[in-house]
Amino acid sequence: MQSEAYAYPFCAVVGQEQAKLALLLHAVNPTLRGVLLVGEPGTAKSTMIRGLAELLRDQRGMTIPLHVDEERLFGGIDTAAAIRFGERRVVPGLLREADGNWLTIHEVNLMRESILRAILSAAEQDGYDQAEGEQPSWVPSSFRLYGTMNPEEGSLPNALLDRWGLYVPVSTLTDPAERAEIVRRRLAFERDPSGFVHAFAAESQALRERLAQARAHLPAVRIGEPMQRLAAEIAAEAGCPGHRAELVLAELARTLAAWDGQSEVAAAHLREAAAFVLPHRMRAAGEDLPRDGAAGAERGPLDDGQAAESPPQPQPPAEPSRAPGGSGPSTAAADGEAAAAATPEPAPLGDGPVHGSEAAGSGERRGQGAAAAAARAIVEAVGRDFEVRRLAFTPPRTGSHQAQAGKRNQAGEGSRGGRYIRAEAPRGPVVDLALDATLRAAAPYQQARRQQASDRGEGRPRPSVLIEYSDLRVKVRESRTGTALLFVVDASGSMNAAKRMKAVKGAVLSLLRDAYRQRDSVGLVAFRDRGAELLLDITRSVELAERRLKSMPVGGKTPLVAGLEKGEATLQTLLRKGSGLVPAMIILTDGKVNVGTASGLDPWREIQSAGMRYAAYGIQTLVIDTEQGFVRLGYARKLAEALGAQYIRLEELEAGQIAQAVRNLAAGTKDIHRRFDMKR
Amino acid sequence: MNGKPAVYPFAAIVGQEAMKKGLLLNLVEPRLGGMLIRGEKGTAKSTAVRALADLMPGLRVVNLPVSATEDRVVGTLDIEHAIREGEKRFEPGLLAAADGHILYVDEINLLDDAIVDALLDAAAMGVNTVEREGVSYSHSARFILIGTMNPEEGELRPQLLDRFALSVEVAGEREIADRMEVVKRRLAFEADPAAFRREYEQEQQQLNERIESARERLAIIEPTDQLLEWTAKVGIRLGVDGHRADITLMKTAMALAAWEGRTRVQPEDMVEAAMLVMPHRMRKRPFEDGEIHAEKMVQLLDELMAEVSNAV
Repeated sequence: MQSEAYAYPFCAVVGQEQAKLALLLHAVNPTLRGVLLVGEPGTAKSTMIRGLAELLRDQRGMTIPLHVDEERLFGGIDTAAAIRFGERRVVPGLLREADGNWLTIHEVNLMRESILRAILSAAEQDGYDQAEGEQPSWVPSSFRLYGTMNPEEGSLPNALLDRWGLYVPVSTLTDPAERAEIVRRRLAFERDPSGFVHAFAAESQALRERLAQARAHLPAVRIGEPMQRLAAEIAAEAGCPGHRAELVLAELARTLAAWDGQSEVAAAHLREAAAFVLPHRMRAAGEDLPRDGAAGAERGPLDDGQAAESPPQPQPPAEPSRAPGGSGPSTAAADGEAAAAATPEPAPLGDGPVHGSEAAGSGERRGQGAAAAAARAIVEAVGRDFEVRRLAFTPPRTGSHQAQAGKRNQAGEGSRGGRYIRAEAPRGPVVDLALDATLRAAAPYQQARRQQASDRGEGRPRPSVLIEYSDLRVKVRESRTGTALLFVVDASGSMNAAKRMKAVKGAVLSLLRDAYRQRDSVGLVAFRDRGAELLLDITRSVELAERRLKSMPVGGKTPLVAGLEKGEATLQTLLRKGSGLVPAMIILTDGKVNVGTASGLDPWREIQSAGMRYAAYGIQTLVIDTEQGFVRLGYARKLAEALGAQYIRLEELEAGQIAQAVRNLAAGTKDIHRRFDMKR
Repeated sequence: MNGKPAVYPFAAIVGQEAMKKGLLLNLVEPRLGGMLIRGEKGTAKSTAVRALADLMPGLRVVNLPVSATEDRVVGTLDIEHAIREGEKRFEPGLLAAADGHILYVDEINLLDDAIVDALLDAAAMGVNTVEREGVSYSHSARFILIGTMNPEEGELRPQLLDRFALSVEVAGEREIADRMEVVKRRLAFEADPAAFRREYEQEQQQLNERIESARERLAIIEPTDQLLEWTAKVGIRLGVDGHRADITLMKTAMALAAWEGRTRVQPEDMVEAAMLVMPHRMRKRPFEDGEIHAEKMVQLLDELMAEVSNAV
């Protein structure tokens, strides 16, 4: 779909005005810290980034592949020198090479979080700590960062989202004329790339000039105190954590003013800027701030000596040194510009001249309350783009799951699947040799070993590199784990009011639909009459699950315990197989137990001990109460309590109001393995 | 044939017309974007892919097995060279081998996520970039991606699904006569591959010439405004994500016209193309009663065509 020698011209992209504007503004002012384009596939995200690079021309473009390893990213011991000269030589990594250039990450949400976090930190701090050598040394590097992602493939944790300066949702155009034009241009480009690029040359040149003008103009643009306050109000109103939001907001508003050729930030600029700065930072009231737990998890080897890499807390506000070229908001305001001097410094809001007074709403501004109201209006106009994570099953802390810092993935031991993330000394038989690391380990000893060999009179050794057992390193691999969602559905007579069963099936279907998006595995157990039946073993085929659900037999008594046991056995088998999937059980029932176990024990006691076993295995449980009507017996709640499961009612599920319950579930555990989102 | 097994001739494959057409279109327009073949086992999928490459001299099929490691796919440090010569060298992987050729992934839905990521990375820019194990290397990676899957064994990730230009459903032949013919030819081929291939030599040659002339014709086919409008409307009505579907639809129709020996795209080309391009992208409602009804869809496509024609 692309032509190597020519990039599709930026100006030739039809529509996507917001994304184009964001990219251009970022090109004017790189302190804006990265642009994230979010949307479905085939919406020109990568095309625009590549086109922009062609437009800027002054910088080299680099792509960070998803499989990048830490060695390459941060630099480390030079394998080549190690091999050739037997020397231990430290080489700079990709992030160092990126200095003065631009970096693109396609599908950022698929990148390993520790790697992405490190890249974002480096982008933020204009450099990073290199741990190789005796002392960690600071490596300065400033680069422009671009990312794309398709939210269908999973989202980013909040802590990684709000580090992107600008966020632009990109979606498919719906105007037939525009869509036809997209196809027409694309075909024309593929047929004659050079002719096509040439046809847009004048437009591209004009854009380049406007960019240059805006860049030149930017240092002179000031933001008065009232507008600074408005920026802060907006960020507070939106519930943005930390101070990053208002800093970027102010800086982006300045850039917008520069882009428009104005020298003073107006409310309209802030309003426009908010659309790029807030969508990914807004937090609903009561929603968790980015947790340290998330930042601390899965750091792995980055922990040693590189703690400075990943500040768990947002940056302190307005560090002047962080704003190169004196263009930071605080320095700009204090820049001693003539215009700045003209503004009465402590002017209370509303009394002094309101800058950019043509902006709507500024006339009626009186005091703090009015500013807050204006902020609220702006925030409401933006709306929140990122879907709330509603249902998150997380792996247990104690389990054998991978991604625990320093722990080996027991499930994957000896397996060669997954991504090579780092090397370590083997603990057992050497299966998956990490040659690069082995060579580096062997490097320092080459001279000595050659000497020894010749001392023994063996002459020049045959292989050029002498490797001993102690040099061997094996690859540590990681694969993204999904959740195995086992639906345990009550198909008994008490559920058989046709309407109710329909609601239950509908709920399961919508959960399945999400599993489909999240690439989770699903399974289905139904219990009714005398026993429980595994209708579908854990599979990734949602299609099958749906078919089985539709043909599920209904009626009879409620052998709840049998259902729980069947579910447990199914998930246990899965755990034994070592698939690395996080096991979760979703039980849909009204809890009206009327069949005990064969042993004749009290079903509630059975349930309680099942709950304890689940906890021991690390099986997450959720009870969805299907009871309806005025008179409620509340058995399902009792069931949830006995199992130690999370509890929600079916109506809540339908109304989509289970966010809080889920946050409780996630509290205290890490959210790195967020696997299950319930949207809509 | 030097130990390499003889390839079953493409021209001798019985039935499976949609699959054969889709494969051929990818040769007519190599930048089309590959094809996903969905269906049960034993439906001549790999035979057809191997036979396809055999039609064009120099074109090869690079097989990406489900068990392949990421290093094997993207390339890695050349172990032997490093140890013998003491030098660092990049050992190209399957993506490098597939550059300019066909990359064939049987049971693509069972592929490890890391491998899928590597495929997506390469597909996004047509370049494979390797930055690991002390190696920094990038090379062109443009290939015709052909994948097969049995939907009963799991779905494909949406991002990867969208990368396939075309998709077809295959099933075993239903007609007894056809089934007998399948077996008969297979047996004849196995008994004496060389003789069997000679038998189809002329037909194979004709196919090759037809592909070549279609390629030439494709270069002068222009999309009309009317058909572009129809394309846009189809995309909107079917609710597909992104614009890749629209672009691919038009390109497929143009390739079809070229294949049929025409220099103008006809409405029937558009409808046929839509049946190859659209179904796997209509995943907004993956749970409506099973498969998409072909008749309903054709009806919708025709309606839209009439709408566009009347407007002109």
